[in-house]
Amino acid sequence: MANYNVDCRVGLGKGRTAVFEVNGSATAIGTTSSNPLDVNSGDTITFRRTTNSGGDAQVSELNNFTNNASMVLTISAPNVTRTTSTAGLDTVKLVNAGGAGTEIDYYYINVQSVNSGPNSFNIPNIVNASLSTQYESSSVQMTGITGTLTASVSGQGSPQLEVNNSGTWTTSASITNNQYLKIRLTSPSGNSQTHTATVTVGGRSDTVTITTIPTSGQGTDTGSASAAYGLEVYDVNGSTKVLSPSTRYITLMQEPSAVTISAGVTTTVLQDMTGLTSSNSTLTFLDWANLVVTVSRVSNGFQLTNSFSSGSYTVYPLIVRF
Amino acid sequence: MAYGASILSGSGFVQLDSTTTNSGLTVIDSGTISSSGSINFKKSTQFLFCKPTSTSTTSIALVQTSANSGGSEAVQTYEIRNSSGSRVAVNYVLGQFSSSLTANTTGYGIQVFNSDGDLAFDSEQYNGDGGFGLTDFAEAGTFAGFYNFIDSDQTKYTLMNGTFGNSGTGFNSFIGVVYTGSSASSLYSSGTGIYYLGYLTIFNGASYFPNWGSIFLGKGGSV
Repeated sequence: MANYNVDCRVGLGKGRTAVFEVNGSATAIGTTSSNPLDVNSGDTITFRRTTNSGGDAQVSELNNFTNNASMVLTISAPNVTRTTSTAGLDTVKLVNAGGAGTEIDYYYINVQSVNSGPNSFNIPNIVNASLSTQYESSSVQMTGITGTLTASVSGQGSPQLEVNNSGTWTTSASITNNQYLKIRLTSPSGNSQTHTATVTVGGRSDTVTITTIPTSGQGTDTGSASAAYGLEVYDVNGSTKVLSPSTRYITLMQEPSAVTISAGVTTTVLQDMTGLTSSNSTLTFLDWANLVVTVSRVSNGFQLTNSFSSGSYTVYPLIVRF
Repeated sequence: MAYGASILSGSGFVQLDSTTTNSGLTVIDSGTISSSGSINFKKSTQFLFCKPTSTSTTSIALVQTSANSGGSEAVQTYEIRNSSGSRVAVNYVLGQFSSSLTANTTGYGIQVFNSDGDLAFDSEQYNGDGGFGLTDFAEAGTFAGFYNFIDSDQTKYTLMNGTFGNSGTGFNSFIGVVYTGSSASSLYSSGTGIYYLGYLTIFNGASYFPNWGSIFLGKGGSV
């Protein structure tokens, strides 16, 4: 942050001068509105009563300063330093404190906003990702930002970012202090592969990686050529694998129990649907119940509707994951 | 997860998660049903996967040949027949979810229990019949009925539970699959492979019919 000096010269008694000066001149930078003193937000300005002044200098209308109170520069306390804050053109007023109030001069200070920051940030990497799947990172709060910065993301896996849970995903957006940022990107199509995205906010960057889950035998265990990742279970012959990282295993999420549905009625088989999608789970019947009952997926389970116009029907649904 | 076992496949799919109520499909039997044979199983809770032993074009569907009380909730006897009503020799894999099995106590292998305390996986349930891994899935109603292509790999097994065929002569209704031979005819627009075929004869008129059960294809043996 820079500091600037602004001299204030006032005469002694009523009707005497009140002039802002820069290096002894009243026509230098800042003494006209068309030629203001350009400073950045956070810079300091020291207002100095000149030694050739005859009275006290009252400085006021410090609208773009952190301390807006007017001040009087006296022979015993000739210098006061103030810090600029909000952006804008500030017309600072100088009055001869001992005069009639008609001896006035103005000094023009153009405070410019400075975009800075943020503090260093770290968006956690994603590991053990499924193949070719879009993942969202966790949200990270951006701190230490002054002004408005641009957040951008680039790299592999078609990365996008979202600011403050706006619901808008893009590759570039504005961000201000204390707002949250997260990204999403798609994992690679092969095992043990990594996509890298670079997130830049102002002058800082963070690299985010997403690494897919390894396949059997791709671990770091160097003591054996067998699988170092996941679980392999062998049949009694010691060679047939009944379960391995290659197995798309079918599991039952709920025991089948009888559900009786009257004609035209819809009922819901409750199920925690966390992680369950149409590509890895279903409610199915192991008989021909689909002739009578239609199945739809809802947020808290599966809805079953008896599509017949009369009578009731008892089914034994199975919710399976695979 | 905060406790227990979570096992993922190499593609990131959940295999076992002991914090849920899941229970894995255990292969309890496998073998061959001859062209004069049958199989007993409970269709409501056990999965029967089959594939023809022949490399010729063969259609297969499940035909119930016994009528014990309890319907599909009870063990019944079934045959595998083609769309002409003839019995077909098939290789089969029979699966049952671990939660309905009793945990062995011999003291070796791996057992995983789910959040209900039921058996989710028990390595000792496997006794030489190999495993089963899913490869293809289609919801009920996915296919219209007229030789709809499912997969090109004829070594895969198909879930038979949702298939159907008449048990008598004059076989005129069929909900099943067709395994093509080495050279597929013009019916099979995607070449050799496994196709869905479904039709019902109602009032002397045949209509093609969607698959009324979910279609699961998979491989047995070492998975």
